[in-house]
Amino acid sequence: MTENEKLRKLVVDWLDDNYHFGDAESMIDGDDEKSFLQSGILDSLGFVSLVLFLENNCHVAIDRARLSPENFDSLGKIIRFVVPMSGFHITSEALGLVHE
Amino acid sequence: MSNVPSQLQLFTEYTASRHNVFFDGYQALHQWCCDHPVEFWGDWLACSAIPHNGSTAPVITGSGFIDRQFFPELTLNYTRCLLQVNDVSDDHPAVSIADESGRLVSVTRGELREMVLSIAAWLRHSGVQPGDRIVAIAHNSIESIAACLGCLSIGAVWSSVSPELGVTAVLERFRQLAPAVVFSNTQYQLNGSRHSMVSNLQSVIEQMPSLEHLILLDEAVEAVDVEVATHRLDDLLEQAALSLDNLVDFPFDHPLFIMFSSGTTGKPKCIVHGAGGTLLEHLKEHRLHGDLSSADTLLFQTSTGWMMWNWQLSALASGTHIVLYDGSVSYPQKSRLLTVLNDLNVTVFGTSPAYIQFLIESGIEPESVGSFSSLRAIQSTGSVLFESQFEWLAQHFRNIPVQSVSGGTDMIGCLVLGHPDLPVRTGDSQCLSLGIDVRVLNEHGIGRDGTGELVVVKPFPSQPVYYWNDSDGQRLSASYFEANPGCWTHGDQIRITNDGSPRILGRSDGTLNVRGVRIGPAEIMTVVNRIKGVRESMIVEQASPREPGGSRLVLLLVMQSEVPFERNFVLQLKKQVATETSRLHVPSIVVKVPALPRTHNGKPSEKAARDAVNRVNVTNRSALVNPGILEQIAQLVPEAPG
Repeated sequence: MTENEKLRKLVVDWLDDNYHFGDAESMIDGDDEKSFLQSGILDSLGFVSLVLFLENNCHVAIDRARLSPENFDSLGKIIRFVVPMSGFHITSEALGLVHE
Repeated sequence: MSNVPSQLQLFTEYTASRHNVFFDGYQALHQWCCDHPVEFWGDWLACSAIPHNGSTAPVITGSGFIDRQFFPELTLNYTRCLLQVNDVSDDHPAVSIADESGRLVSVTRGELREMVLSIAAWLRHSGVQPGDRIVAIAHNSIESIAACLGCLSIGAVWSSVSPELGVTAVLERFRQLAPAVVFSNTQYQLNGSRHSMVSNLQSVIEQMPSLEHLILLDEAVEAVDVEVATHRLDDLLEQAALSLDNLVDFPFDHPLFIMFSSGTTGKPKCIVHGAGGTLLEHLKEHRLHGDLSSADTLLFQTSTGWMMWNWQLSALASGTHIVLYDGSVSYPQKSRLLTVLNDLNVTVFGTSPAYIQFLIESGIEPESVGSFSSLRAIQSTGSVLFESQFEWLAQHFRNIPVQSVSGGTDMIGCLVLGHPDLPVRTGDSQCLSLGIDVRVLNEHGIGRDGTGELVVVKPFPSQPVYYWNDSDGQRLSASYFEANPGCWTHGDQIRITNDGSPRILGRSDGTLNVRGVRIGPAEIMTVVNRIKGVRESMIVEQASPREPGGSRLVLLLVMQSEVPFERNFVLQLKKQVATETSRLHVPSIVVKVPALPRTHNGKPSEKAARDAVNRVNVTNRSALVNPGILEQIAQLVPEAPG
């Protein structure tokens, strides 16, 4: 799995865990550039929680001044913004979200 | 500080002079008012100048919490008290609504009165009697305010929930009340999308045989197919309005609102609040603690399902202009709600730590939104306001006083509040609620300061008048008076310094608080325990300081051995909880555990599980039959992000 694929899975799983409970992929509908805000996938309150989640699981520090739809409003934008950040990595544990 | 004396200062001088006493500061005033409840509540009723009839004596009968009655010979009409205020003219703004779409609608006090009294006329004409229950599934709107006041004006009892609540949760609440009339919206807008409520509404109505009338608060975009008489609000507004003078007065304890509080077991409790107690308490909090008047514009971020909606409504009795907000606070711009505050010249803004944390985490700089030149106070409630949040607000809002207030549904008011003349101490509320004898219960007994369980040691007017369907008062008694006989046990932990500065530390009972909304564990467990494969469950709150609201829900599941615990199972479980209750009820973390901690008499111990999940020292290990499970739970539940 590439880093891009890992981050994509991480975000989709997070959307399922917190907002769509199994329906996230069908809402994204194969279009990774689909706007989260316009399609009701996430609202701006959700962006804040997502950023906290990404910081904790991708080991990056996200400047709040850059928390904008420009960088977070679709899967594609998140991947392009977060993956190149310094320190970025996702552990295999982070990809398992059910704690057994 | 303004040169105009605050209403609290004027009241202090009035009390001092009338009773020939000297108050060396607020603490002395508070203690005197608690020690002299007859004088205090009698004086406050007189000063509030609300229209009433009958005798103001006696002020209190009975000696305990259960048999107490305030103003048994006095009658009033809550709606009249809100609509008929001295020196506030008909063209003064009464209520405005702003929403995420940019819409802004306002009505004057005269226009609101006409709406209310037309609705009242229609309800009376339709046979609604005093004491009948009227329920609403409604979003924040001028229409829901008018419907509520219309209902209350003829002595009917109002109970409302917000549209996001699922069918099961609505039915668990409203079916207990056997209501005759339901007001409802048919759609709501959130984050730019319209959501139909019609299917849920039809399911609710189908399962509530007591209903005779459905009144639609908005223009339905699709047909509502139900077997009760259906009307549009506009039909009611065409009715010739009643006259304010012809409204009937009701006893001080006449039921006004029914609120809900869900515990760890059973259906939600239906808490009945009386008209006089609610109004007197709200007037005190608004005018004395908040210094609200007709010069103010109040915006309190709330929904129709939270007691702060009822609380803000009563501000009409002080002539205050109420601004409602509906929809997402952060759509279409992150700063949408702040823009409304600034543009509408709001003077007092009520919010929650969850919203403040959102502002902090999303990097919003209020200074770039506007000057907020009219804003003079920020109130926060719903959960604990952390010191860092106080500091952020002070830094970004010109050091405007930040008043952390706290109380609850059970007393439809607050126990700790703001003070118009005292400085703000970071992290603390400014003072205890005037006339309410709040104390600390701990290993040293009951004291005026220290850290421990928050108790109230004397009756107060806004106690529930009773619980619905609790004829012998047993449920009510068990809720507040059994844990510590002779006291009202509120369910919060408090610290009061020796100079009287209070700070709420969090809940002391099993009630959950998610993003400022109180949630009963029973509501979640009722859904979860029905799911195939679940043997038993427990839901606890885990502190998570960086989450909006400062905590998250953790669900512990004991599974039947043959059922696999897989990701799909967890997602289906979450979906079921969201559908039947609301998204706020959905646990963030779901963990399979071998067993729940149990006491020697077999009862699951939420407290022990909560301590284990939060990695704090479990104090009652010896009370458990299986203390070793706590280490396993701590190992299985991930720590909250720091």
